Amino acid sequence: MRRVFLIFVFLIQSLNQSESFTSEFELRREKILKFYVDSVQLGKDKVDFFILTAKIKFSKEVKILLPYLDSLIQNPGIGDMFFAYQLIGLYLHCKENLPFEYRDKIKNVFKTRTIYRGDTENHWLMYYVAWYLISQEWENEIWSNLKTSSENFREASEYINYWVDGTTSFGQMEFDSPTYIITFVPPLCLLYDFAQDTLMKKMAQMMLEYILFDYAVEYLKGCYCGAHSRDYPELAVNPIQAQSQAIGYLYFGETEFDPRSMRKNAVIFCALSKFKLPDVIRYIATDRQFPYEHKERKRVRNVIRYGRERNPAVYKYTYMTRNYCVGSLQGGILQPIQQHSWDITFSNGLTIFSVHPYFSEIELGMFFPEEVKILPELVDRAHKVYRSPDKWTSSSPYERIFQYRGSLIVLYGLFEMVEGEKYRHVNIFIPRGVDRFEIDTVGWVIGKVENGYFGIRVLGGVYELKLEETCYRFRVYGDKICLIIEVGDSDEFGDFDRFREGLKSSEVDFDFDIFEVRYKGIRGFEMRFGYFGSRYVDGVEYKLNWGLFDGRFARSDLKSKVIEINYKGKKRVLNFNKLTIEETQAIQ
Amino acid sequence: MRGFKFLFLLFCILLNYSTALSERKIYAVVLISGKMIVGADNSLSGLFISSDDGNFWIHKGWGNIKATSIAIEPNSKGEVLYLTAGNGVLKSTDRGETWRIMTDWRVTEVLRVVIHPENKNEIFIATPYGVFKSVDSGWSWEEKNDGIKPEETGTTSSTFVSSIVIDRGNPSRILIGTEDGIYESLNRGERWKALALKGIGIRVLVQSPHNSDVLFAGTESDGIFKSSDGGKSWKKVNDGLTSLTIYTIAFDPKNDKVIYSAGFKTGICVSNDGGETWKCSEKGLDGFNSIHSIAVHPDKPNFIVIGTIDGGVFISADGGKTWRHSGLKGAIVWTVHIE
Repeated sequence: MRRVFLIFVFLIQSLNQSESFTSEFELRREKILKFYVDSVQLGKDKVDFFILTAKIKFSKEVKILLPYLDSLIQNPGIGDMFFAYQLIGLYLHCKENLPFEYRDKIKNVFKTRTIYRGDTENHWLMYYVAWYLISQEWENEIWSNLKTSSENFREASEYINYWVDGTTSFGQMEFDSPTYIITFVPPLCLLYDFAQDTLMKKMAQMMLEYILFDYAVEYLKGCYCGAHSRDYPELAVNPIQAQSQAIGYLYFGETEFDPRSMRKNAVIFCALSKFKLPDVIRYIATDRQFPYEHKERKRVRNVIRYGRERNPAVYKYTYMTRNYCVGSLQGGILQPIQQHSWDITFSNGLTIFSVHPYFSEIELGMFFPEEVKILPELVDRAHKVYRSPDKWTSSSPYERIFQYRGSLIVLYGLFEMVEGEKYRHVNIFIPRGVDRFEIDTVGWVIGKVENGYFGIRVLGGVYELKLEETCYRFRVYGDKICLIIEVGDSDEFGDFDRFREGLKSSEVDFDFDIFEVRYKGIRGFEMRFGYFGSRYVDGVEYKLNWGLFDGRFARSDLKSKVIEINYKGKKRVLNFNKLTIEETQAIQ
Repeated sequence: MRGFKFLFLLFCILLNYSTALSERKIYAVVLISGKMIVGADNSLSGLFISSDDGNFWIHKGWGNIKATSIAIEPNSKGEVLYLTAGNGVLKSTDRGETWRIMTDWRVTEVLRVVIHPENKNEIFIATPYGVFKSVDSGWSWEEKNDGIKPEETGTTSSTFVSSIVIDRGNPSRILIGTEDGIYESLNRGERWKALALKGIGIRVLVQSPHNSDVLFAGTESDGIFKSSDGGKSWKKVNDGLTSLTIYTIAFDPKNDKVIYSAGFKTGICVSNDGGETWKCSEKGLDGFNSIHSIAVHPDKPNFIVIGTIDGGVFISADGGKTWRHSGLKGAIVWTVHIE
């Protein structure tokens, strides 16, 4: 009871936003914190730095928690960059409750334990946020890397500024990841809460809004929809379980808090934070009254060899309705190992997508500096399924995707595969949970998920259907495979039969020789798509040339470092050149 | 009697001291040990040093860093060390007891470090993002990529640099082995131009200690190339190789005809005719036939150390006829070095 009271006091102290959303938001914060403070049992449940942070912050009996802290410091069981930012986060949130000897102990950890920086965008952000806050907290010290506080502080500041500059100019590299958003938002919350420099604090706030908007616009009732840079196979087939769900729950709602995955615990730093999401972004995450298309431009992670340029552009396209979302990127190798190129996500969390289970030394060599001959083996030691013919996440150099609204064409040019490359097949994932599922006489695989409908037409290949525990797996064999995907819902087509009849009357002309398809679908427009680059809608060339954000809810031009977020006439402009936020007009 | 004991003790200490000084240390740079997940808590990697011919290894410094190579400042007797790793360049001035990161966020995933033989303060590093140079012993670094930038060459492979050779015959001339062939600089790295093997992934580039005109390049999939005119012309010398992916080439310090090479699933390959032909063998390597580094003892050429992929370190005391496992089981040893 006392704990609940303390949480309540803490939350009340933090209230400073508009009443309407704030109260709902505060309830969700309270629910998260209450779960970790009260329901996670020491000695029985596994604890980590996040859980200890919540418990120490709200405990009157810190003493009993300290052995757990000792144990975690001694054997954290996580990578260095995770360890560093989590420990300094615990320290800063709980400093007042920690005995002096523990404050010294934590400081001493950073003076003696060396910290590996890692090799991804999220690793580096965590690493440099950690050093920024460590060196800010304890000035005039020499740390485990034998650099002084001022040296580490300057380096961390420079990197964070560099990261923000690159992200807002050219797009994020580790973009839209349902897993790794949990490694961007919590460290930025720490930076927002504890950076003493007002500009750094402001920048953290703006980046939080930037990343959460990026999520909001592809959010559907707890799921991060569409294409992702990085996803894990078990989450690609079950997106509601992803770490992003916890972030979505806290900031957007419309889903239930489900703490089953330990990796969601990082949301504790968000729940403890004073950062509040502006109403306009939450509206965008939850208002699905009218369908919309949304485009984004991102960057490929650093291509260190076998590429023409360091960070080629990634073009994302998303079509959102209240019953489903379908999103994609243009295809090709845009991320190693974990790319999720397209999907349909229905409002109940079921998802459909296809994958060419490609793997190669070249793909890994593009992004990792180790010897290419050993890279597949090294990656499989960590990811286990990298060389599996059945894997559910993968990039492929032989994949090309063209989406327009709810219609999607995917081409797989497996005839281009070179000697030594395996798996001339494509896997299609259709979940067992679909309400209806049939294959019609024309060849459409048609189904229904609540009020959402889908149709998949396979051209240029032969397929086998395998019934698995969680899905219908279509394995399509061929040299030139074409998938046509149509998605609709009851709002647009009325009942399912009408959608089904519409599919039957669609026109498809597949030219196998030149590997080009012309498709006039159920919405009346005609798409023409060739493997070697042609993209047309109703005879007009469709160019991939949009900016960082382009859609009803936001616009941001390449290199502008300005994003204009819109919702019903209300504008929120994040200007990273000036580090200003301007909000104009009320929501009508 | 007490005086005798004291003198005997002093004698023993001096003997031990002088023996230690005459001995050479073996350095093993471990990329990873066993399973490695970058964002996870991993087993010990980094620098291991043996002072007793590889019987016992002591870990020095950072524990989880994806280390790749080492350079020891000349005449420092092993006191000043440069170690390259994922975090950048680390430097120790106390034989590896403590280390400072000398680079910042601009430098990452360093693959090789070389100290200029004419100037110990001039350090070059090879990275997947090009060449960086320091002229103040590592305290500051400057990117030196003019001529190899992707926008100049049309490929990111030209900045993937895995080897640096400072020409003994002309110390202003530097050669680099890249994923896009060999590039040359005639002004200590200020500007690069393509020299040879354009488009070929160079894994290792070395210069013969016997003749500075003789160079060898080990490649990703084309075996070994040899140049006898300082890099102007190159010929393939693959006769006898069992695999064409070559990571390491080392010279017998006393006999210019004897050269060792190894790579992916090659075992250890020996040439007795100056690198024209090779004989490869996996015998005694317990199946660890992928080798990333070879070091030959400067004084005792029959003493050879190899760093394997996943098998730790193996040592031969008879010129490669027989091998014994020396330790670091399960490790990917990126570089071995005898100083």
